[in-house]
Amino acid sequence: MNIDPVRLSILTVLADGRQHGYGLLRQIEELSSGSLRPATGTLYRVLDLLERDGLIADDGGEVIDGRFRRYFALTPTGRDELAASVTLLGEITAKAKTRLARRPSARPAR
Amino acid sequence: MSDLERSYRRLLIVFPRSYRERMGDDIVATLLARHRTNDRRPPACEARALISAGLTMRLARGDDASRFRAWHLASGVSVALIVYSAVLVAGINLRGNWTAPAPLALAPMWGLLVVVSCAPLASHRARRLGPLLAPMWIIAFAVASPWLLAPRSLVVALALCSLIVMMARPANAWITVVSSAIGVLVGGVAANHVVERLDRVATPLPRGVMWVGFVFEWPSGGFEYICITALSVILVVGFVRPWIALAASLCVVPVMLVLQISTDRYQTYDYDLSAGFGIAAAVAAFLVLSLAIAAIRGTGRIDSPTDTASQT
Repeated sequence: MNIDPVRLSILTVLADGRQHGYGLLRQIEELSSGSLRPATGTLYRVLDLLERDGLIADDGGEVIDGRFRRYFALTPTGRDELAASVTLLGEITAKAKTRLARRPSARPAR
Repeated sequence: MSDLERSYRRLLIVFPRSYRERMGDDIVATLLARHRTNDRRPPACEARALISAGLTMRLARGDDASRFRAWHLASGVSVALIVYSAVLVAGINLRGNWTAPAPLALAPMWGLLVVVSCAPLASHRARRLGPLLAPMWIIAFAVASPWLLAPRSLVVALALCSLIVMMARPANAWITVVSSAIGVLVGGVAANHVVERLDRVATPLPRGVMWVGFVFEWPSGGFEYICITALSVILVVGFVRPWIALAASLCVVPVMLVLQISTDRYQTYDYDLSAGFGIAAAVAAFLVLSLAIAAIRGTGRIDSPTDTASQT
């Protein structure tokens, strides 16, 4: 299980339908309110890893505004992985909230 | 095609060809859409990310032919550098009145070794030569360095090398092991010579340089030295990715070359190979740098679990 933000964001965007590289970048930025802006090279590297793991698949190309675009789509495996990651993140978040509430001071206990 | 697009396309050369052919147009379209600038050159951060992504794909792919080529190109360069250094070390021996065979007499042997070592560049089948290579290199060094001719050292070296090769399970690891071992060995010999010369001319070089030389002191500590080398190679190969071990072995070469250049200044006779040393050092430093960048990015946060899992 890999809960890297870029990876999760890609899967999240693709859960909504097929998308090309530039579209992914814009939606990732939107998802994270601008805090997540991976370099283009980073995005394609993660896309390559996801594709090799079978979580996303090449969904053909289209020419848009005179430029060739390659689309990616989420596979059933990818959907399962996203669901599992979300569950894990939810558990971690819940525990973090509980602990923060229990001990509000930042000072470590002795 | 604009200048900017042309420079983006030039950058894409770092990616494996199959990937570039499928994804290149889309990557360029993304880059152009993202940065609507009038600049003729790509932003530095994008260029860096593209280069590291391309190198990572080339080096970290488990099943890609271009990974195989990149691997062996790097290995071939390191082997060539090591051979070059070895010939020079033999030359230093001669100049310093050591009883080493003349480098010219050894040339056919080095040549044969380089051809055999680089054979995997040409064909997959030649990879079967791998297990033979480590012992061959050790024998070659035994011939070149009179101190290694002691039968005990030779037997131990051969046994350890076979062990290392057997332990190195990944398909290409043998060449890493060989490169690492030879790099460290040559570095040790050179450092030892540096210390010899420092003693002779009593130069004010830092104490640290002297220490490196003593650690690798060859004539008195051959046996222990080989053991230490072999152990460190096993450790490196066992715990880190194989190609990081290659980078480590490449690191030894420039350090050695720099040491050599720094001592050349204090020599009482002319040494006509310093320029060659400088060029080799620059090439090696560049290789090490790019491999290190790829290593850092490749093992980084973003893809570590997936990346490790897919590198079988």
